[in-house]
Amino acid sequence: MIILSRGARMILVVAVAADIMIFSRITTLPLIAIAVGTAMVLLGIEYSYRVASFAGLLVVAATGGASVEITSLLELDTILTAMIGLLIPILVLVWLALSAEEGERQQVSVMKRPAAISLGYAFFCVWSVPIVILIMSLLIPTISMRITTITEAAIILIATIAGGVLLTRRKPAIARPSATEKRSTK
Amino acid sequence: MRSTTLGTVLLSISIVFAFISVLFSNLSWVVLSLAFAGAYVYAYLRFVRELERTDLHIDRKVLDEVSFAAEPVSITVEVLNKDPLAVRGTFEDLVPEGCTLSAGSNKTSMTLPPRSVLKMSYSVIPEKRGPLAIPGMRIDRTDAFGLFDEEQLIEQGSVINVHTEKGSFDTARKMAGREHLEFSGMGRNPAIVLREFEFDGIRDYVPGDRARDIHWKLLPKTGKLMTKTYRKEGAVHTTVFVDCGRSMRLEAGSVAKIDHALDLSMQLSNVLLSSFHPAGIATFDEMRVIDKVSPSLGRHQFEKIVKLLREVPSSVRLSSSSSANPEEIPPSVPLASKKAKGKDDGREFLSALDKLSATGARRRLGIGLEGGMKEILARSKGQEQLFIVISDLISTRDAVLAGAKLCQSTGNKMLVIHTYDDWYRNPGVALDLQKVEQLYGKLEGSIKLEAAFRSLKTKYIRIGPADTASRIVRAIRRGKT
Repeated sequence: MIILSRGARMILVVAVAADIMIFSRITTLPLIAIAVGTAMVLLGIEYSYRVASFAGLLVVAATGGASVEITSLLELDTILTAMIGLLIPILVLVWLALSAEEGERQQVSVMKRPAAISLGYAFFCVWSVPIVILIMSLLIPTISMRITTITEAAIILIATIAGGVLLTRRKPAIARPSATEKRSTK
Repeated sequence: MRSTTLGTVLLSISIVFAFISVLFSNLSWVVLSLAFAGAYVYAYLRFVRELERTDLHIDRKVLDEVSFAAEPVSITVEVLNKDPLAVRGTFEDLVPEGCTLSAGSNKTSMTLPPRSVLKMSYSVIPEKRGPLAIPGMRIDRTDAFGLFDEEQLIEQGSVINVHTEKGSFDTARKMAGREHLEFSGMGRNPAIVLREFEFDGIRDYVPGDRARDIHWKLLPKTGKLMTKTYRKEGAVHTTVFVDCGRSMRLEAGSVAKIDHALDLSMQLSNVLLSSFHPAGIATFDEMRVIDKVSPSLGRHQFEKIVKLLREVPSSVRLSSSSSANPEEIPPSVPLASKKAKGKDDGREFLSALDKLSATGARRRLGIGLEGGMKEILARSKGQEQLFIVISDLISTRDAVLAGAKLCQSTGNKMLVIHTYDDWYRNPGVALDLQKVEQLYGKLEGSIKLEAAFRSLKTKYIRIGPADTASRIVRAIRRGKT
């Protein structure tokens, strides 16, 4: 388990914002939007207010999405841009923004196994397009097919949904109160 | 596991980003959608793990030494989080069924940090006597990101043994000084002798007899020395047997037979003890003697009796009164069907019990009461015993009859206090002819049963919920049994 204090989290937020800015087309408007979003996330963490952090996260994510131009995920440079410039920073930012209400006393922790599984899931989804094309070219080498952006998006979305459903299928093995125990008290 | 509003919003945003990606043919939005979905999956997996590795230790203490029905019982709960992860959510110590919260709060919303303690204090008022089980603590858990929630039950329960109402103890205490209940018989223990010398008979003089025991008036008539013999007469050992069978536990009216029997047994024991009668108590059901306190006159005998009675199982409320008018049931279909089902269940149960007690049916072995009596008699070393049996004579009728025969054959005494079932039921609305005939039939059966007991030299008294211990004691003293 990795435990982070509030100060470390704030530094991480700034680093993530800088990372997104590096990989996006720097113009004044995205710069301002990312700065405002980052400030909101920082304020949310400072005052342990999750709503502000979440709003800031949306601003940063939307700006990042609009600023980074990715038309294909079949080339290594675009895949690396997608992963380093968008996927990992946004994953980290979601985690930091949503754990804003933990405050200083509750140091935010990362559980290694769930984190590894979800990172693996995200990487697999990003790599799903090259994997699918590779499999298709191996199975049917004579086929000539045009892979459009929409096709790639469809492959990633199918992988995302299928993987998500599979991973969230497991129910926790815990005791739950029966119907008679679900009574309201003063 | 349920998704919270925030979780739903996060997923919705992920879907919206996917749509935008298709709309603008830009894969960066898909990557964003994937990032949100990845965070959602991480939160889910983390929460599952958090839930499964929950390690809470609950220490629940009942502050009152003796808990009484209809009196507040104070409870303190300490929850120790042994896990290195914090537990977030609303902690609620479940109040047992048949209890109402009177003061304090059994619920708190907080984040319980690792290796820290949460304390709660509250009071509950138990509505009825019997063991009340606190099933544990319910926690409405939320995950660290506020995306999921789940109800979790920590099954570390406690049992509070609630005694009958405090008024019953007061009555027992008051009666102890006022009422007297004496049953004399052959005594062996010098400590319990009431009248030491009770004339028994005359026999030939044997050297060594005391001079004052010689019947001098017979000497001129018979020309030889005759000795008067005496026997010690003292209080007999008394055991009050309380029937805890299923029929006794059914509560069809305002008072459950088992509760009334319990109050009476406690009060009668105290009256007997205050009159220097060694008294004990035993609870039995259809199959066995559940628990027993042997007759004694020790200092803490009443406390022992009270402790035993605290363990007696509680009454079970019938879901619908068998005397309820079906026309009064509301026309609502599900409710009506539910009530009808409950009614049928009750009838089926009672008819099954009737079958058990029916004449001509297979005789019950009566292992419970008979076995208990035999055990006491075997250990009595010739000491005369009195058995007071409080029963409704439904499921244990044959066992009580067998006990009465045993008492007759062994020269011991028995008093049957019959908690007459029909008198414990709600009178309900106007009775129809069929029901009246049924009631008369049952009463006739009860009178026959009374005759059977009397033929076995067993004293018998039929009581209802209005009969108090003092009335019963007076009735016994006046020979109305």
